[in-house]
Amino acid sequence: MKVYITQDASGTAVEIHCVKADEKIGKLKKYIEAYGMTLSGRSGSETRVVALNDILYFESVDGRTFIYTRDSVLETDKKLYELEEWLDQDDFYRCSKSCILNINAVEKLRPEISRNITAFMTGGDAITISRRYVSGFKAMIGRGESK
Amino acid sequence: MNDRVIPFLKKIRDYTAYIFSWLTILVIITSLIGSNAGISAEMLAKVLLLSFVAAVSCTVAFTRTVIRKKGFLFRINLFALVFIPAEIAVFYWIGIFSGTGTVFQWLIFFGVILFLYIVSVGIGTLACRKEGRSLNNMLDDYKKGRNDHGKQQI
Repeated sequence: MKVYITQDASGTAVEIHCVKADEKIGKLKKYIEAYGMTLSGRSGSETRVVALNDILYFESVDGRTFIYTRDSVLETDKKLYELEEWLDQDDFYRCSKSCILNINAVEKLRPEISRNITAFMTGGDAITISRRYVSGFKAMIGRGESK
Repeated sequence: MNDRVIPFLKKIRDYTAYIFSWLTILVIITSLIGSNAGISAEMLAKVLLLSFVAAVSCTVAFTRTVIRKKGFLFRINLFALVFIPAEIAVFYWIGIFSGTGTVFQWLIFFGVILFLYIVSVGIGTLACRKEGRSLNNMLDDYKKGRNDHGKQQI
């Protein structure tokens, strides 16, 4: 793959030249779009922009959606289902009715006798992967490198 | 349907044979210790019935033929709920229990059940830990694969 960089004062855009726009090219496009993606959230009166890579998980409580990073909790106007559609599902997995977790931020998994799995996140938080979502999660990580 | 029914019935047959053989050995030992004259065919028939009930309870509770999506805790609780009353009924029928029984008898009975329950849950927990090691290896491979995939794309 050849990569060229042309400086253009009008802004940054990436154009992909390919023989055929297949699934691989679709993945490349999605990755480029996600590169450097951020999300804004509110903490009190302050609005902050957070890089997706810094997000540990999203949680919905009483109809409000919160973004959890290592050192802060922000509220976003997006609903969980909107985030689920927008985020790369190979990195962010809907692990219960009220939570989406960043798989890259999971340090350790512990299966429970109740068939849930407890995911220990970077920073120490523990998130429950509900038993209804466990088989999908196992199928996903069982594929190894995402296709 | 035959794909599930025949293996299911085979399991009941095998479990019944296994449980019956061990219960028969226990009956023999108990008779020898108690210096009983002999073991009657009626007694063996009752033991066979108990074995069959245990086998059916086990097969239904712990295989995926009937119950497909439940976890270990549900299964062991179901088994206990089904088998314990049947066991009590057969114990009365055999003559191990009579009348209201003594407190000591019931304490022994439920003590053994509780002990086995705790051991089973302990084994289930150990099995979870083993699964945890496998899951964590899969997670590490997945995360490494995602990182490598991203580098290839760049």
